[in-house]
Amino acid sequence: MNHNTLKRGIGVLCAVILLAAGCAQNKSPQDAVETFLKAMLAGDQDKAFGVVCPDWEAQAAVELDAFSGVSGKLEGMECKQAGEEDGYTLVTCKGKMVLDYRGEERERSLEETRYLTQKLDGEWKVCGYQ
Amino acid sequence: MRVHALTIGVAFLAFMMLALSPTFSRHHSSLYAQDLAYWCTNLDVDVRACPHWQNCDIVIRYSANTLLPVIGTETGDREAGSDQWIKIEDPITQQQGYLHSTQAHECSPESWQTRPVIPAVSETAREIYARGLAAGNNPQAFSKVGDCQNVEAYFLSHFDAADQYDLGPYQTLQETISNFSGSFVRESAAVEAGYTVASALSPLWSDPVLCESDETPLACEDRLHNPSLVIISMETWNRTGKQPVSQYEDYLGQVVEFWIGQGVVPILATKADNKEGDGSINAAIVRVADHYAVPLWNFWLAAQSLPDHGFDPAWGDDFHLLWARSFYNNPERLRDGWPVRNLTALQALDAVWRGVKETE
Repeated sequence: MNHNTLKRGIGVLCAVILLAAGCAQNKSPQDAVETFLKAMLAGDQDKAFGVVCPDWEAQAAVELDAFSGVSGKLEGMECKQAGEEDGYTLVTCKGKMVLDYRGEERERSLEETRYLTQKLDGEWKVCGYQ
Repeated sequence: MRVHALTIGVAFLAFMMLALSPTFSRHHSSLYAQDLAYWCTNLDVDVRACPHWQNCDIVIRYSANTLLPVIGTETGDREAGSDQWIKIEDPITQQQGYLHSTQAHECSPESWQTRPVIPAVSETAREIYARGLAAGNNPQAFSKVGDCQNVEAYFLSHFDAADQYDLGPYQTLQETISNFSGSFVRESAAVEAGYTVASALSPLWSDPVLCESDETPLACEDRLHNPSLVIISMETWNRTGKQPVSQYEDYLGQVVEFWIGQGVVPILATKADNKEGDGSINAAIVRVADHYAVPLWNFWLAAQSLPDHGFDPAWGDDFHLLWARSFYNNPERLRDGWPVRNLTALQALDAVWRGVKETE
C-alpha cells in the first residue's frame, strides 16, 4: 500500500464519518426538541413530522397551525435532559419564543414545558409535552 | 250573474298577479334576513326618507357594493327612464328608506351572507345550557375565545364601566349587561393577538401563569371562569397561504365540541374581513354553527352595511375596524366598525341568554 492509497482510504473514511454524523438528525433527546421547536415556528411540517412520534403527529400538526398566525424566532434556547418518566426521557428548555404579530412582539418562555421524548428506530423523537 | 262571476274572476286574477309579484312575495316582517330579497349598491349612495330627490331627507349613506335587504318597491321621481324606487331596511338600525332603482342592482348573495345578524336559539342550545347549569356552570358568566379582534381593550370591556357607554335606544340591553357584570372587562385566557383557531387547542399558547402546563387555553378559560355562554370569533387563518379552509372548519368544530362538552353554549361570530378572497371562512363558520345547531352572530352582515364596510381607512388593510366608543345615544356611532361590533355582540349575547333561559 503506497502513500496515495493510504491518503485516499483515510479521506473516504473521514467522508463516511462526516456523512454519518450529518445524517443523524437527533443525536439526543434535546436535539429532537430543539429541531421540533425550530420547525414549528418556521411552519416546516416535513421537518417537524420527521422528529415526532407517529402517535403525536396529529397534535404536532395542531401546534404548527397554532403558530401559523405569527412569525417567530427562538432566543437563548438551550434544552437538556430532565430525568425519565413512564418510559419517556424528559427534556426542559431555557430561553424564549419571540412572536411577531403584525409588528407587535410578544414573548413566551420555554421554561414552563417539559417535553416527552423516546428513541424510536435509532432516532430521538418528541412524543408530547407536560 | 255573469257580471258577478266576471268580477270574481278579475279579483282572483289580480290577487294571483299580486301574490306572484316579487314585491309582494318578498315583503314580510320577519327578522330572518335570509327570507328577504337583496340588492347591492352600484356606487356610494344616499338613502332618502321618501322616493323623491327634492324635499326628502337623506337618512343614511352606504358605500358601493353594500348588500341591502329590500322590503318593497314604490313609484317616485323618474330618473333614466325609471320611476321605480326600492325600499330598503338597514340591517343594524332597521331604519327604512328609499333608493332609486338605478342606484343598485338585484344581487344573489351566498346563503351565509343573509343569515340574521342576531341569532335565533335552537332547542339544542337550550339543552346545552340546561345541562351546563345542572353541572354547575355560572349563569352570570360568559367567556370570549378569539384573536386580536377580541382583546379586552376594544371588545365589550367598556360595558363593565358605567361611564364608558350609553345604550341610547338600546336600554333593554342593560339587563344583560348587569347579569354578566365582570365578564365584559375580564381578560380571557383564550384570547390573544396572533391566535389562529388552532391556537385555542394548543397548550403551548396557554398563559403559563394562569394555566396548567398541559391545559389548552380553552380548558384553562373554562376552569378559571366557569361560563354558561361563550363568544367564539376567530378571524386569522392561512397567513402562509398553505392551509385549506377545511382545516379551519375542522379546528373550529373541535373548539365548539369542547364547549358543548362542558355544557357551555357557543355563539359563533362571522368576521368583517374577507382576507381569504372568497368568503370561504365565513361560509365555514356558518356551516359549523349549523352542524352543531348553535347560535350564529353574523357580524359580517352588519359590518358590510357600514361606510368602508366598517374598516378604518387609516389602516387601509380591510381588516382593522374603525374605532369609536360605544355611545349609542349618538346615531353616528352606529356607522362605525367597533361600536357596531360591540353593539351587535351585546345584542347576540342578549338574544341567546334570553333564549336559553326559557328552560330555567
